[in-house]
Amino acid sequence: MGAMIELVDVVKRYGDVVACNRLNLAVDQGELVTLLGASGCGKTTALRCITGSLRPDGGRIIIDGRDVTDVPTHKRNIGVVFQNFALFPHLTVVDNVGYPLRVRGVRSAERRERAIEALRLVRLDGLGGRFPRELSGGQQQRVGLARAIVYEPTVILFDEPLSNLDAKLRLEMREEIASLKDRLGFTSIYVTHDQEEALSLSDRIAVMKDGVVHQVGRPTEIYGAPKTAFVAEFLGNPNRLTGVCVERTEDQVVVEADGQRIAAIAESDTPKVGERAVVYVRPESVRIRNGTASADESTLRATVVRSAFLGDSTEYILSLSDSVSWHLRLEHTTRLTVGEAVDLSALRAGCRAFALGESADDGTHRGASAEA
Amino acid sequence: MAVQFLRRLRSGGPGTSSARHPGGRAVTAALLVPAIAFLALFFFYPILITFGTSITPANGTGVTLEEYLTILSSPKDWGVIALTLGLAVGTTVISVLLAVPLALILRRRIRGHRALRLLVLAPLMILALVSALGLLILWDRNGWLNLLFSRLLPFSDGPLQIDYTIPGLLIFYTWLYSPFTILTTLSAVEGIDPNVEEAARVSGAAPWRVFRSVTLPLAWPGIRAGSVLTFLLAFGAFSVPLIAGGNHRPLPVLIYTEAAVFQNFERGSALAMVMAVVALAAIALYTRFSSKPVRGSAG
Ligand SMILES: Nc1ncnc2c1ncn2[C@@H]1O[C@H](COP(=O)(O)OP(=O)(O)OP(=O)(O)O)[C@@H](O)[C@H]1O
Ligand SMILES: Nc1ncnc2c1ncn2[C@@H]1O[C@H](COP(=O)(O)OP(=O)(O)OP(=O)(O)O)[C@@H](O)[C@H]1O
Ligand SMILES: [Mg+2]
Ligand SMILES: [Mg+2]
Repeated sequence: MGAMIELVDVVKRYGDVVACNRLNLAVDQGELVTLLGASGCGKTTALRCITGSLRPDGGRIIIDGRDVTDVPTHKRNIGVVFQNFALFPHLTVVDNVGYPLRVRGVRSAERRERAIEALRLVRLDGLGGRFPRELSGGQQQRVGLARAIVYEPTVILFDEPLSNLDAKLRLEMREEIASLKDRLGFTSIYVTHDQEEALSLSDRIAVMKDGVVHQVGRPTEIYGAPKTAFVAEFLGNPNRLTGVCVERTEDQVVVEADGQRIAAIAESDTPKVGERAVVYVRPESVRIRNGTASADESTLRATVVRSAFLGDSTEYILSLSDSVSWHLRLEHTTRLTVGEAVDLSALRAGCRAFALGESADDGTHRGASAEA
Repeated sequence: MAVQFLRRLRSGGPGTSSARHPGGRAVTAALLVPAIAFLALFFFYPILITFGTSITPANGTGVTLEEYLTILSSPKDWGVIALTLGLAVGTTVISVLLAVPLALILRRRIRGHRALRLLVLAPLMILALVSALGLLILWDRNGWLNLLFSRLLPFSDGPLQIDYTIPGLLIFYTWLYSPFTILTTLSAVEGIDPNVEEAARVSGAAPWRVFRSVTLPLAWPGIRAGSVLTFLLAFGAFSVPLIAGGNHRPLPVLIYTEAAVFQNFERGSALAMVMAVVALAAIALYTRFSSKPVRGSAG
């Protein structure tokens, strides 16, 4: 149907390393899908298979209904924004942006006009005569962006385009990419290991680990209903509690660890009673208990270990037992002192339980095969 | 006390806290002294002496341009200059044509690339004279290669003559002087960010176009630096043409013959000055016209 980019069972190996392991992904027209995963999970490899600079060992790549698996890179009509910008150092900004038009045989006057228009879109008017080395990092990446959109390619691929920029600029460029996408409506795959970037920018996110896609879904789905322990752990810096499942009903499981009990939702990889289990707790679902806990909250005891002032809030490190510490952000209206014992309430909707395998592994591989 | 003195010394004088730049200039000048002294003693002084000799008449008094006029009006001497230039230019061109494809292959770290790299260096590690003798033995009228050819191609007309010919000299020169071009080209090509070439490819450039519009311009400074070295070395080659040149005597051999064999120091000096000027002019022209390898550069 409307899939603009389709990866079908894409496999890529480097010797013994399987960088992409039967990758399946479909990106619709005008959609921005993020490949999110830790360093080395095969994100760049997947992109390089799409651009054609790597030949997959197996599977097909389909762009705009055309099987391009055997089509050379320069005939794929793809735009790429690189992490290290990859501008042509010997060309001026206008010539950099005009390069894709030049190789397409666009005449010089029109080329210049369109390059300047693209530069205007990324708010770089007036810098066309400079060389890349005469620009700041943020400006260079804008040129990279302009070069990728100037020929209106079918799809645009982003490989961690913001990771070489400082925090403030990163936020600004993120907005920029989002607004460009809204205006131009391009289809894109965006690679990042920054979950905030992924959550804020994407229509859908594909969470990857070790060359396998664990879950694909809208940011709210991925965040709110993670299907594997890896996905739950990777997003939202959750607190973690490992113990044994002591109770299992239709809508919840209860896990006990070091004498503390916590009720959690378990939808996939559900632990059986007596089995080891891990619970991931979203920090925003935890509060300091005052008064009684409601029916859908579990109560846990903790001691304040450390506090860190963050400006708009304060983060407290709380110890639940010798080996378990949680972090909790509180507005300044609530003050805790180090050494204080507190009661915590954890909302069940923010707690996810997963079975831990025999090997005390985090269970991701099981999740993966369930997915496939 | 001492600390204050040191501080003052560092800031370039009493009370001048902002005198870093003048101080820096003095340091720069001081650092240049040894180099300038060396150049003066071993470069400018000998050149002056040579120039002096070339304009002194044989009887030792006065000034004359006779030797220069003789050279400039002698078709034979012009021929020698042309031969020397031709050999140097030829060697340089062949070296670049060898270096670029080789660098493109070596950077892909193909199997055996280490051995190939070492092989490129071999001519630099073996003395020129040894190489030349070895090559002679290999290529001589009765050398190994000709023995081989005569076995393989029994109908070829006579032995292949390489030594004492211009193609032979070009082979010798290339063997000896191409490593300089190859090494700088290799390091330039390997210094190119692969993502930049990738960016050209995804932009729609076919492989040849990527090479022409991105790889070559970016490698060009390295190619140019190495080829200038190759050119100068080939232009000044002495031992190889002396041994293997036969009747083809480039300038260095001629100068040696005039000065050391015929004791004609005036003519030898004049030829040496001509050689220096031709080399300088050639390099000046080359650097002038090679600063932009591809016109309009985006090719
Ligand atoms: N050319 C190569 N040769 C051998 N192994 C490679 C090569 N390129 C990548 N790999 C390996 O393949 C795996 C995936 O690499 P890839 O570059 O795709 O990761 P990534 O998800 O992009 O990581 P990062 O976030 O650090 O960029 C890694 O284990 C890496 O070590
Ligand atoms: N060599 C140069 N020639 C001309 N303008 C330059 C040169 N280097 C930097 N600039 C300009 O000076 C300004 C500041 O550049 P600088 O690189 O210091 O920014 P920066 O604060 O490091 O930004 P970023 O966070 O994007 O790296 C920019 O507008 C840039 O375009
Ligand atoms: Mg990567
Ligand atoms: Mg900077």
